[in-house]
Amino acid sequence: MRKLSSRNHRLYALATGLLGMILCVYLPTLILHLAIGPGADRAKQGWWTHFSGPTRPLPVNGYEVLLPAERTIALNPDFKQATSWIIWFVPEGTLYKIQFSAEAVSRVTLDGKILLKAPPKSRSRKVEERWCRLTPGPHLFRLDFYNKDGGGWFSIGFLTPPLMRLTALQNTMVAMPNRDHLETWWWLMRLSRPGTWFFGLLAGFSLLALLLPLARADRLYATIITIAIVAAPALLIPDLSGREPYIGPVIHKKLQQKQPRYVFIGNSMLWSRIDDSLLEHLLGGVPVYSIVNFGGLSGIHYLAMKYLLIPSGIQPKRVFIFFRSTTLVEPTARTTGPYFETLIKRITPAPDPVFERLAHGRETSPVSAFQRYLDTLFSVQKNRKMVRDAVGNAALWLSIPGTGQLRQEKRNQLRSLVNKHFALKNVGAGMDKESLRSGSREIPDFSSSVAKSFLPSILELARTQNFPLVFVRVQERPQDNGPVRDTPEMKQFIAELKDYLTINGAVLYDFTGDPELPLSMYGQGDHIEDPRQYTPLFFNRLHSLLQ
Amino acid sequence: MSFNSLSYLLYLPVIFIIYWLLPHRKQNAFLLAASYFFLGFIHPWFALLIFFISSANYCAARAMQWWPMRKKIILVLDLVVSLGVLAYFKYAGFFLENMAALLQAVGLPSFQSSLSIVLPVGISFYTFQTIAYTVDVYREDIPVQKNFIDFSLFISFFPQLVAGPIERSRDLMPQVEQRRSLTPEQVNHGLLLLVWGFFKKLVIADNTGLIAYKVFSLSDPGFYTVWAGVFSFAIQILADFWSYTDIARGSALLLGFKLSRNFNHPYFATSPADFWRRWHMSLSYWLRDYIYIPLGGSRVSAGRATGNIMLTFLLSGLWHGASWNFVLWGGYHGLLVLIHRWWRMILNRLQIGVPSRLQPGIVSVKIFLTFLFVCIGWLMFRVTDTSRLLAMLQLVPWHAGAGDFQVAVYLFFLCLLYSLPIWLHGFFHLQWSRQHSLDDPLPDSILMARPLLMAVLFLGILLLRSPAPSTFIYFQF
Repeated sequence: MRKLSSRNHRLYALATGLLGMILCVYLPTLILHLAIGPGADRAKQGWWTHFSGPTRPLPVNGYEVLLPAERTIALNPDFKQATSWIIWFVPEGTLYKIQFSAEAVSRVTLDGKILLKAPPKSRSRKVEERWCRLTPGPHLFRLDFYNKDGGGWFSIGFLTPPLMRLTALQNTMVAMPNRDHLETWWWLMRLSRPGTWFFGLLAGFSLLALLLPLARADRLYATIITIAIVAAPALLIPDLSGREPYIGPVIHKKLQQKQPRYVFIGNSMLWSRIDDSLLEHLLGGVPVYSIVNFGGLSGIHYLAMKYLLIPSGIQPKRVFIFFRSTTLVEPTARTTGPYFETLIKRITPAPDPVFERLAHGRETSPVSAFQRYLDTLFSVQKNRKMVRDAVGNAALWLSIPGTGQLRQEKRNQLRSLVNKHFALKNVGAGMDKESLRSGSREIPDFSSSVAKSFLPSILELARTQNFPLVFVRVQERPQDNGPVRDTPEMKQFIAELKDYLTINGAVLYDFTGDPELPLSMYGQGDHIEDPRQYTPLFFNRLHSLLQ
Repeated sequence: MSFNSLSYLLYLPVIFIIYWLLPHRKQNAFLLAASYFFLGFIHPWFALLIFFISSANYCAARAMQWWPMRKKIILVLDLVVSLGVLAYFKYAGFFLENMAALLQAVGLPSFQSSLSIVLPVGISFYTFQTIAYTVDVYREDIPVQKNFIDFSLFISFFPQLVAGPIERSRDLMPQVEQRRSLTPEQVNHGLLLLVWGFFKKLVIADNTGLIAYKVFSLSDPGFYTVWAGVFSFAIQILADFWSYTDIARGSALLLGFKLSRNFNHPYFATSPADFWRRWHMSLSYWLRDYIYIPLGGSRVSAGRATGNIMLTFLLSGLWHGASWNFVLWGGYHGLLVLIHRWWRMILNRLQIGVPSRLQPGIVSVKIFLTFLFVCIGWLMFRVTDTSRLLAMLQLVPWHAGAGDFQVAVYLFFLCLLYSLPIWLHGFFHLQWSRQHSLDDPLPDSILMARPLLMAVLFLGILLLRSPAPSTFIYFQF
């Protein structure tokens, strides 16, 4: 190995190193830019609004136009959610009252801490207000906006003592972060990450040390600093991912308005079986409400009960939980991956300790603790979905290159075509489909697995809230037109489950083997083709429990 | 313990620190214990099995030394034990299943084959390593290792235990015996190999693997989709296996060992034989030295040489797995090598030459055609159900469904984007190899940019790794 000690080598090392650092910081920026699109394109992506008022450039060089002179900001009606960041240049340090109102579920985070949520908890209030002391200079607002019907509006303003005159945040006061600008990167990093100074110092030290390992690759200290340099760019990247808004308040409001006597919790098995309005009709106008989380299993049902049903304060006569086969004692099933990460964030206001322990094995395992530490250290990982989407978009662009509306439409068509191509109904028979659907089909031992499952926690929640629970086991798709028959192992499992539920004051109803559930009633997989066919059957079978 | 688990990220630094604090002799004992823990972490019985195989081979080699007159019988006995263990764990179920089917086919009373044996991790790799050692001792190519700890460490050295490279005694044993040292250059190179290996696995293999998985899960995929899936699988299997080797080599380098290369940009091969000189090199050389050459190699009659090639490749296929599709895959590659050999003979006889200005173009065509034929082989490798495989091979483009081509183009580009670093690395290597050999030191400019490269790769892992990580494909072999 040749020694790297000449002056030219050092200069080369400096140039390469600095170029690398800039590349590392800017590479994700460029990808994000491709994914999101600059300026006006951002509105198309649902990231930001089309503004209702006039806009003008900000005096700060490099920043984009942000807020209109008017207070109200509308979301593009084609999109259901928006996440954005605003840097507010607070003119003077004082006590401000932040006022926020929104049509749908939203939250405002100030410098990484949750400040306000909308809609307000109290039905009599229209706006949410919060006092906070702000120092002069830049502060980071993050806005998470969600409206399942698409579109919507929000407004944000502040009141300054002593006159308490309401002032809308205007474009002269705030800046939309433009990720192409180095200064914005600095502010975003400073304002979006906890422990910024520590990471900043670490990254700065690594930057200063950049010359050493490159010029002296044969020294031991060089190795240590190399490791620091490898990690530094990732530490420098701010956390730009918005948290999915918690949809709890919307569900609470609906439950409070409806005051259902029977509440159903489940996934698409429930959605394809129970038609709320038909059941209400059969019950003579008794209100019912279904909380459906597609794809969710026992862990999600537990969260739905804890964070969507219980905080609403209603007292249903019975709560029905729909499940399939052995999923009630499989705590880790369907709790990971991008879809479930998003779903969990939407139905929980903050990480749930029981869920974290049972579904992810956190708390107990040192490996999990290490994983959590790495996640905190390299919060750049939270931008993964955006970056991966950008790679997908780039592949679409390469398939149908070119600009213009027509080309974009063709790319959208191709995206739909790919989704249709790989729809679950096109998946082949056998092991692959089974694994895609519900993981391993091996029947677990009930007695040894129940303690590690969500079942005791669900029963405990129901007991404390005085909710009578009914667990409904749905029948899986019959193989031929005859009734489904369980294997002896499955029968044993269900018998033990039934005993366990009975001891704990809950009821199990099992639809498996019901002669009135032929293959012809089934649609895709274990789903029923039409819930209006199943709902009367459900009503007849569980009539005694619905009185 | 899998390389792509967080447990390994915790395990390796702990081993590294304790290992370098110990004196040389204790280092070997410690590494042996660490290797057994590594394997026992997957299943305690696997550690017991490797202890049994190591003991049997150690005894066989020592016995050959003590009774040189009877070394042939000892060798045969040792081969029976080693291959017997491999046959029992890997091929017994396959053999019984086919025996039952055969009896049924000829109308004789058959039986229900329900033998289900768990395949011990890495058995195919360490069994071949032990066989090579015993045969080398028999040939007196290497001295007998008298120290049991050193010998056991040679067999069970954890970085290469699960999926190779299959190391030769003459390369690895001296490293086990000698005092090892740690240089910053070794650490830097080892870290780069680790980061590059993790990138290949977590970003390239897992992302392209997800595409291949989706394609091959379809009940009725069209012509173009199938071949886009094959392309994805081709990338996946290369990145997956290569990444394992890189992580193994990087880990070993941190512990002061230098493991052999297992890959040399196989998709830039210019012929089927060249492909096998670049793909899973340690297995190719093993098959050459312990099967093909002992059978007579090419220095026999044309018919027998053909048979030797076919037999070697069929065994190579069977080594990969107890399934007919692997045998078919091996046979297919044997046939490719033979056809290419005949083609070259015809060209030589006709004395057809290519002008030098056309050479680069010809090389590109050769690379493309080799890759194409290798991809056809990957279809046989990926689809284990023979009837489904035949149905896929019978697909024709003019019966492809609407949109099939467009979807395939999209999948192709998606794979290409994820695998871009491997292709860039390949092109760089192609340029480099025109004037340099593999072992030539890289220029200063590249060495100096190493931390930068590592930083970019590390960032790539954080941002682009697949949401659905998978185990290494070669773990099943």
